[in-house]
Amino acid sequence: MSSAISVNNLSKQYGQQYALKDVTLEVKANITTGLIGPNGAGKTTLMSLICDFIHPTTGQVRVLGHPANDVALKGRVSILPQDARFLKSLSIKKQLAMLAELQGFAPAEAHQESLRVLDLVDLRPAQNKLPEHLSHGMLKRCAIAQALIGEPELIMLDEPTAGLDPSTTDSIKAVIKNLQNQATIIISSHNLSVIEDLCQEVIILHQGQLHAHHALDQIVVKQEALTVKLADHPTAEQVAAIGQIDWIKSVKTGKPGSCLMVIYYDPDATEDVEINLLMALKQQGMTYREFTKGERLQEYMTDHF
Amino acid sequence: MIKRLVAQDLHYALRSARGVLFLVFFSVFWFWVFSKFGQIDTQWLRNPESTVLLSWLFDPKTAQALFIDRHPAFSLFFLVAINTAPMFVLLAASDQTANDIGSKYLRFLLPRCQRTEIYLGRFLGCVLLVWAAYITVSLVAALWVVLFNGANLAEIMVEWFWVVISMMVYVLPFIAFMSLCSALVGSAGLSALLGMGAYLLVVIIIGIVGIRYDGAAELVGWILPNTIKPWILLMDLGQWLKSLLVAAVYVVIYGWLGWLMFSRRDI
Repeated sequence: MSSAISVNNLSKQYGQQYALKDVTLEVKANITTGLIGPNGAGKTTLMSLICDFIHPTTGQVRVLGHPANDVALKGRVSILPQDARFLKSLSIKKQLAMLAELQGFAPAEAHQESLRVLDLVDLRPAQNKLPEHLSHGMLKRCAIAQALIGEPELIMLDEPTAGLDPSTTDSIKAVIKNLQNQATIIISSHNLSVIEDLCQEVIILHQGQLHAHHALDQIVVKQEALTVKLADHPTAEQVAAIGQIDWIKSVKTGKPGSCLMVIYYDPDATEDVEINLLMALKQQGMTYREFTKGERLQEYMTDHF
Repeated sequence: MIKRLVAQDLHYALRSARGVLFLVFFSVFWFWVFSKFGQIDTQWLRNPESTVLLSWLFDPKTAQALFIDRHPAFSLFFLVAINTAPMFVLLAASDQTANDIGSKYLRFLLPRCQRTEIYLGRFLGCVLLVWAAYITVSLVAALWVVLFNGANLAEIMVEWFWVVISMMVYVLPFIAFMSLCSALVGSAGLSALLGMGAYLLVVIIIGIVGIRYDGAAELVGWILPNTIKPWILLMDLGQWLKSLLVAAVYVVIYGWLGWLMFSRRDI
């Protein structure tokens, strides 16, 4: 599989502080990649470097085979920047049409394109509103809309669901899912369920450095594990008792108070794993709230950072 | 691409706070100036005694070019326009890229256009806005002089043409100067403050240095594009071409410095 982005020994330094340090990675084309990490990990910096918003201190970036500032990339790469603001006193439809014109649309087509992308984010009713009259969530949707103008080959979304209500989050996820066959997508998000639902690969940054870059199922076990969210955090005795069950290979608990328990099992040793586990939990007087197949990215991140 | 950026910049200039602010200040000022025109006996400027006074203020050649060879009322307008131009241009051109750097709006533009196109587009948008403002106000002044000072329409239209092309040349380096200031900071207010502050600082330095070292003051004076003003005021083709050439040099220097800043800065 060819790479959409190639990053080589990339560093960005602000004074003595490294925002990104010596990162080398390749993002595969035509898949959706998640970019995660704690606050200050360098996610936005990496996206900004890929888009040539900021210049690297050292290292190189190649996007779709070109240097990040190459004219050949204009209109082929789009981004939802985290903190960019629209112009004041100009309707969002007009602004989207202006951006579409800059991507090569004729004025009439640009108008239609702005309406199309507003439809994608359910914002057509607000088309004539000024940005200063829109809520944070609506502005976010509008910013997502501008990233969907035209047919970009690479779409980068920095925190696409931050500040959105659950229903809008779901509709944005649906929009992204629809784009997955048409473009390479990179999503940076603290909402790890979004990453799990949408991404095939995950890049984890920590303190400006590359921590991991793997397929999602290499980072978290998707098979032969069950994650249980309990009503109360399990005691050591309860964990030990569960761990002694013959078909269970090991048990891992989350941080105190997380009420999480991950069960790793041997699929050959038992059938109806879920039912057997529920019975075992009942025997130990443990009440469950959620049951998920596989490990969750959330726990991986909590364990490591 | 640049054409589209310029069109969008002009479209937005008429709706944005900075554009409206400039146009309001500009209109109010000229409304006030025109209201005073009726109270001035401009023909007095043609008298021998006033020519002596004006020759002391300017130089005999300039005084003759402005007040004897041309209609004194329209020349008076030209003098006011050229002397106040730096102030208005520094205000009008203060926000070429500054606010969009601060608000990170440029992050919506950069995936679609090159930095060069954005920088040039904003400069040209500003040039057209300022030119349009001066073309309009000088047209009003020309008609005013014809209607209220009894000037000949055909003669005034020739003078109007001279004034317009002179103002067009004179404002260019100031706009380029503000391109540089705008690329340095992250808000239009700060950019205007930086531009006006730097302008005033140089003027003060020239004044102080000029008390003792006239030659040095003249040298420092070359930092600002005001140096081309005396040539423009002569309203002579040769002098105008000379000012055009020097204005172009200013534009290239300021513009290039601004471009260096804009191309290298994080946005």
